[in-house]
Amino acid sequence: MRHPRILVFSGSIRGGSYNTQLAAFVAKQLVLADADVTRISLADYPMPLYDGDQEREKGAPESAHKLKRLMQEHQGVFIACPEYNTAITPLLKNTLDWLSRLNDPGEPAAAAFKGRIFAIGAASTGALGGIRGLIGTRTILEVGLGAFLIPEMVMVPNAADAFDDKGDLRNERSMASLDAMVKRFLSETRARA
Amino acid sequence: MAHPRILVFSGSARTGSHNARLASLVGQRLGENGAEVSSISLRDFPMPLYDGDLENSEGVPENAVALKRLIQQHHGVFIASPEYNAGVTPLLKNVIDWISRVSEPSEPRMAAYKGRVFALGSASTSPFGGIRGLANLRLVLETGVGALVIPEMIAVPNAADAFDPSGGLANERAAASLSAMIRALIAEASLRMSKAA
Repeated sequence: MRHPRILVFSGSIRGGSYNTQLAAFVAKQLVLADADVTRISLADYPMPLYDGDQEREKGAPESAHKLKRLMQEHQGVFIACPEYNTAITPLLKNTLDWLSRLNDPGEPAAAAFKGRIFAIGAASTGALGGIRGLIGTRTILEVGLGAFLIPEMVMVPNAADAFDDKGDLRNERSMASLDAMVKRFLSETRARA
Repeated sequence: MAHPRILVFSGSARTGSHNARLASLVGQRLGENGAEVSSISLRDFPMPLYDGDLENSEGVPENAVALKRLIQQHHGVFIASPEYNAGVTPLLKNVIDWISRVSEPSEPRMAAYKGRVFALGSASTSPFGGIRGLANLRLVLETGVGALVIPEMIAVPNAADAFDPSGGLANERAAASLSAMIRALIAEASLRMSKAA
């Protein structure tokens, strides 16, 4: 069986970010399930705040082109999405918005978001596990960018105590939501590998 | 190549419903593109308003069980969903909710929504084409009942003048988004042909 290639990153670059911990754990579970995982940090893909004037004068930043091409080498993309004031982080939104502007001749608009499967999850110190931010992010990805997003999401509430020393999830409910997400993610990405 | 089976219905049972016209057009296009289409009307599957007491005393209505089984015979489902006050119609929400309560002992919860792919569309007399209702319905299907919904949607604005005499879409943009949705639904339904019954 072919191993689906899956790209994993977090919408936060803060040292000790709970969502980066979640991204690391999801990557590990995907590898254990035989996926070929690439984990990156958005810190390595810096982009200025989107500005239409700048785009017209200089085009999209090189990091956006690099990340777009990297996404296109994968059948699946998992994004751990921190919730800031009930919504997506500026870092992640800025990245998605720059990527949405890129398509080579012959490609559809927002090409990085087409032809692959997306999955999202969140870790939050609150009791709701970042679900409000995930709902908004779903709309951006699906309605805004035309991405195909699986319904299963992993949510990690009370994130400060959620991970054990090995970086595994302690909470059984979070673990169950992660297992369901990984299962569907693998079957959908395999169908495209 | 075998033909994916796709179920098509509208969230309105009103005579002359714009969404029933949309469902009919989608059914026709799916058929032309190689799908095996079943078109139904929710009028033929009447159910009382969901009531937990009623469910406890009498169980789930037969029509909910019948529609659940019918959905399970298909690889894809297209729903034409009218927008009532920026949301989903009571008729459609009631059907979705009853069906969410039906699973055989060997099946996962909400079994009708698993193992197949869904696509959504809307026709509305407003200039927004019912997109607010679709966003609401997408959330119900995905985060509520765990359904896989393709991103491509068809929203038909100004529905009273949207259909040409042959039942096609007069507006080029709407026609293009319809074609994109049809292609994606058939491709995704075909991927699931080995899985569904």
